[in-house]
Amino acid sequence: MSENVLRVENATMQFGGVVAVDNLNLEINEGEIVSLIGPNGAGKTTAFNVITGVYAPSNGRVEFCGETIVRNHPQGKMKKLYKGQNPELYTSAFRVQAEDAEAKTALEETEKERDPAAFTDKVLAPTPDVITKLGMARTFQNIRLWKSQTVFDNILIAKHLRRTSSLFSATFRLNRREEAAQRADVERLLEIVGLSEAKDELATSLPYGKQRRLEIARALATEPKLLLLDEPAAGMNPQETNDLTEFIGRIRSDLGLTVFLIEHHMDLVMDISDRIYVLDFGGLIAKGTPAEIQNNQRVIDAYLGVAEDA
Amino acid sequence: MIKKNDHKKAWIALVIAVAVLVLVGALDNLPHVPSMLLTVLQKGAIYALVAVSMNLLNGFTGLFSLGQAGFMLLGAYTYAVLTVPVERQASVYQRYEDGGLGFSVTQSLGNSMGQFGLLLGVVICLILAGCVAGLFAWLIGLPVLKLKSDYLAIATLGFAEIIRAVVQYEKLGPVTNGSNLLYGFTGFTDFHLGSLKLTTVMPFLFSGLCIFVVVLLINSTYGRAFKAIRDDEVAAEAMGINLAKHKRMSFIISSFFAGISGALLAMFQASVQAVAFKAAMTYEILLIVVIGGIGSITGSAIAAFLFVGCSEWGLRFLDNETTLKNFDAKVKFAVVFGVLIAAVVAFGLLRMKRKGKKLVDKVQRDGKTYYQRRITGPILGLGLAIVALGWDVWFVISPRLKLPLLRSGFRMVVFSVIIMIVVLFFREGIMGDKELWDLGKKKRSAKAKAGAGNE
Amino acid sequence: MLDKILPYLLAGVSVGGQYALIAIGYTMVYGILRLINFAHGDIFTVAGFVMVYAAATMPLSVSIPLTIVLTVILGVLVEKVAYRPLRSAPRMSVMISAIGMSYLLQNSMWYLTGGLAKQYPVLPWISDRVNVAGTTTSRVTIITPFLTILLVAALVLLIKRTKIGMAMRAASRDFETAQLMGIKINNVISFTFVVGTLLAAVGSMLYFSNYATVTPTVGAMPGLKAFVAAVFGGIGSIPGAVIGGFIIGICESLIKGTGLTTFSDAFTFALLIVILAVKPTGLFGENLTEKV
Repeated sequence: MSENVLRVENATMQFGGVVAVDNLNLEINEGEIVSLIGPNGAGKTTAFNVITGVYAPSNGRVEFCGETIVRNHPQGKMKKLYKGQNPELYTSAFRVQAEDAEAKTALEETEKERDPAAFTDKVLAPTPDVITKLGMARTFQNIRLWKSQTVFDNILIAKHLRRTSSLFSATFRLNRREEAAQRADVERLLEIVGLSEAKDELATSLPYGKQRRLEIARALATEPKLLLLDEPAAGMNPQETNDLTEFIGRIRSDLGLTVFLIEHHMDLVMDISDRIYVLDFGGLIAKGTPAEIQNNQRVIDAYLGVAEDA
Repeated sequence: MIKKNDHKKAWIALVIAVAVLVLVGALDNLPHVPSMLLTVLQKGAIYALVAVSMNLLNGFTGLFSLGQAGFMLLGAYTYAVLTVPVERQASVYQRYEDGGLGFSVTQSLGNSMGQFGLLLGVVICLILAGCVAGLFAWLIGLPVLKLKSDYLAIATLGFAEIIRAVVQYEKLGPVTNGSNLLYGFTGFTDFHLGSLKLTTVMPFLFSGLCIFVVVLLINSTYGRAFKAIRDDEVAAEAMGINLAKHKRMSFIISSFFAGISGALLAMFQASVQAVAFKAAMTYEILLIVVIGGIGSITGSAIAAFLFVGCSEWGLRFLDNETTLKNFDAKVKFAVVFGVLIAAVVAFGLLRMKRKGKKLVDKVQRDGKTYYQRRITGPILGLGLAIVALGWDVWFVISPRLKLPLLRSGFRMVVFSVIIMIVVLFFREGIMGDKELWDLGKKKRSAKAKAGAGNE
Repeated sequence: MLDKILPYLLAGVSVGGQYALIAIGYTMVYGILRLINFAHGDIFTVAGFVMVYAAATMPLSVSIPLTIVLTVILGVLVEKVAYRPLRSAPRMSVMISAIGMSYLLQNSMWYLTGGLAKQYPVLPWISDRVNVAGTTTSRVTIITPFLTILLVAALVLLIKRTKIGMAMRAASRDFETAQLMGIKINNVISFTFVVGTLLAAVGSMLYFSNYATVTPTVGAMPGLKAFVAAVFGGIGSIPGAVIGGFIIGICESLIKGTGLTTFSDAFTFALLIVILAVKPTGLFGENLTEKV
């Protein structure tokens, strides 16, 4: 049984009256490739944003490699507006359900081990850079490259978070060795994604498919354990999608990463995923292996559809 | 290897720097050098540093801050207060009993170690000036840097005004001399190498060193992080760059150098008064940065010299009431003027043609054909040109010898118009976002590679 | 106690109303164009100068409307020359253009007037001294708040009940979609500037009746303070700008009353910092979230 890398518990994200993510529960284990699919507007990117710290969830907990990294519960005005279940799940009012006192204490102990602050009011809402430093990197639905920088520099900048040199030593070039090591790393990543020849070109001058690959290389430069890809195949033709499928497989096998992806290209999803979660209107409607999902009636009704002449 | 190239570049840069200093030193000491030139060089060097510091914040990190004048003020006052000679403190602080610090860093060190001591003292005070400015930047930065661009601009502007008011506060008079002039402190004229004057070399030296450090910073990993924040801060945060920390870093460093430049300005003017550091000063720096190119350090430096040169010296003739000598002179003037007008009109027409704009565009809509007219611009322009030419002819014919319009204040009007033209039509500024040494290379575009075959 | 405060209170309400009239111009332009019109304060000053020159050569019945008309023309011209060409440029460029325009206006005024301060003409009836609850003050002080509220009420009616008002509201909600829906955006913007400048011109007449010296830089401070008022009330909100203007005017006047005059200006900025730190969108402002 491989180690758990990501666990999302009862995550709910609510904007005013709109519940974008409704009590999401999911698990990703080491070395898996897991996909999150669903119709547009289902809340997939919002789920990514909650996991990576862009939004603090209205309620819920996110655990990364056994450590709780995000925890929140409805507060203040939100308490009145909150439309989900378990509003006090991660506050001091959190109660474990058990038959007798002994089982209850045992459960409480295990809970405390996972999350020492589970029974307090403490809110954990770090900024995305903290979470990235812990080993989670992501790409974006709409490519967000740094437009004035070259391909090489785009990846090099993503190495900044792993620096050990201070501002002073970096400015006065006392960090030559570290800088050289980082640059060598970037060269290696460029090779892996096949962009070595384009390294001195402006990032925006690359064709769309290559820009996506660049974004992935950039995310890989942060030395993550878990890679989140938001619609990596968007706008790609079948050939490019095939290349990407193979590439994601290599990320898992050669680099030893775990991958969590959002995608609409069903061939890519069914081909490469170990497990799939299906979201609709913010809520989880199905989960399982590709085979199970393909035959799940609810998923077919909500999203996959049936061939017309069946 | 990349290393060898870098070393070569470094040596070339060093040689150029020394050559510039020697040249400036020569100008300082040769006879018949117009003092205006020296003034422009000194002030230009100082403004170059401020402009670079502002560019670091606005152009490289993308934080639109309008608080530069406030930090310059802090630096100027810190420096001045620390270096007023002890024996003059009584007269400088005459409105306040026991005014002044009772000691002067430069005086103490200068008395004990001569010129070297003086230099050491000045360097210490400059660094302290920067530190005080940086400290305030740290204090202000905490709440302010979270704001969106427009609000950040206004908040920093507000802080600069608050600082100005506080410095002038009567109760702080014994230290800051309230709203009165501070003078008598160590200036550039106090420096000399034997009998050689160093009045212009010193600002160049200090300014140059500081700008050099900024260049090093920009090309380091932290500088790249700043640029990432400017281009897309959401992506930067996602790639592990802590926004609050880095923005604050950029703000403090920028203010540090703004403080030093304020101190240099004090040294140049030989007097400091809070009322001079108004928002207008920040606007001038901003305009310099825009003219030079947001995101280009060499651009800011070049633009600083141009700006100071034009406003102090180059356009001075526009302020003087000019009477031409005789008819011949008038004809010469009229011809030159007429040619200028024709050139501007030709330039305008060329520009329109190059941009592909036609005077009348046919547009199909709902089955009918509309004619979209873009004639207001060209008609206005042509009209103005005709009026100008007409006046030109009339001026030659008439018996007048005096040129109209030229009197005190016209220089600044022309200057402002030129700035507006740059802001409206040459938004990239002189250098765009490239540096002087980038002009040779070109970043290859995908189009160039298309010839080699696409993938 | 009251009679000690009263003159300051009255002065505060009066200058507050004037700030409010200027602030409306800022807030309306920002609401639609997301632009801080730095030149607005200078247009206010120009209105003052035009009045000085006009009143010297023409009877008041002509010079007052003439001032308003010329000022409005200037405001619209500034928009056409400095802001319209940069409509598609990044926000910083437009703000820099506004600053450059402000610079140009100040220098032009300096050049044309020779840098000497001019005396504002005395407007009869408005400038008369009147007796209010034991203190004497000029009638301007009494009229200003009423006139301000009247004008603002008219403006709010215009925005809520007329077609052009609806177009303005649409444009400030979503600029591009408004254009796509067929609204002639250029006309809407020009109209916004007309209204804003008109109010500033009226404000200048009231202001200079109190502080009768006009110099090229005299409008910078009131302009900046009016802008703070607009931010304080919630930039984009007209009632907010008005309330902000009055609050700043009153507080500033009271501070002057306590003797700390150097801090009366700094107070305005301190207020700005506080509101930006606590509620950046101002009292009546709206929140915007960005899609990641």
